Amino acid sequence: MNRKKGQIHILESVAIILFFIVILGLFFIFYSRLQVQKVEEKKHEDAVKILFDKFKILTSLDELKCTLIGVERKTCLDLVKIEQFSNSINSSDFVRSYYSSIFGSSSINITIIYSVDESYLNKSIILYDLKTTTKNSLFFEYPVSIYNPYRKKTYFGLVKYTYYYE
Amino acid sequence: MIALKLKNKSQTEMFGLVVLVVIILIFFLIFLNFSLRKAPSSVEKDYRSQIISTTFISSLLPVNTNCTVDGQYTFQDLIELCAGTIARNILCDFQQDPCTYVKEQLNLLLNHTLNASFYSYYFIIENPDGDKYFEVNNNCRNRQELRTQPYLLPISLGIGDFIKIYLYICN
Repeated sequence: MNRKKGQIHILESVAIILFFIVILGLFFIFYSRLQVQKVEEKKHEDAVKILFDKFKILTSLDELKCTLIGVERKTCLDLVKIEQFSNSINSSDFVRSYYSSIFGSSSINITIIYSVDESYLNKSIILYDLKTTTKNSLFFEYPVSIYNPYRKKTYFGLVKYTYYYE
Repeated sequence: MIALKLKNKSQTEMFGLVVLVVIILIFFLIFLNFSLRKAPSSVEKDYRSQIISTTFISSLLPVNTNCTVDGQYTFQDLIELCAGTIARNILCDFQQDPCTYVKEQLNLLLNHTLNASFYSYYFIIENPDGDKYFEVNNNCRNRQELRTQPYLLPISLGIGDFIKIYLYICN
């Protein structure tokens, strides 16, 4: 009888220890999940800042801006400069490495969505494309006017800037 | 025998208490998990909205349309014509009235851009008298959010008269 009682006591102690282990485990899981979430949030915040910084750089590039009689036009890109920029990046390692130091792991795509010239409608140009990782990505799409100096016409387009990060 | 029964009873009670404590703890942890989760930053949202609303209007105005007389008219010319009542003899594609044409094209552009990206927005073009020439409200429910300054388009013939273009991105 005494032995049984002792066994019950041991069982009780084991149950209490197990109970505390379970609670500690739950806290540990909860805490680690919280930490992972915090790190992910910080990464996302940093990526958003980088994305908007790169967007500012892109919109201020003289290599792409359009001018009319020497005057810069707001939110306007020159179609000839865009095509030339894209060709240079694809053909020259030096140019590619120079712009990769500015844009990093990103892709920039420009699409004409409204044009009076049928041949330019839905024309898409990959301005820059370098992915060192595709684990996470953020994108920002904004409207621009695209000036075609050969035809002296302005079209409406969208620039899609995608930033890739670990 | 009675003592053992009593002990069994108290053990069952204790077990019940432990289960209750565990359940309360689990609920507490779930609650903590949700309450500590940070709300997404509104700075990013505001910045995106601000850029899109300003770039949309400034990019739209110089775009050429299919309305011509002695050259191709831009959206700015057509908006000036229709909202600013400047008399010009303009013909658009298929002999369409330029004021109907510009509204159709604006709807088309909004569909291809803001609607396609699932933005809620409110787009208004107001003539100098304050009348709304063009108005599209795409799921913008809370008018309190509408704080954006208008884009002022001066009318060539009027002195100090402006056409006001508003684009509010709500969400």
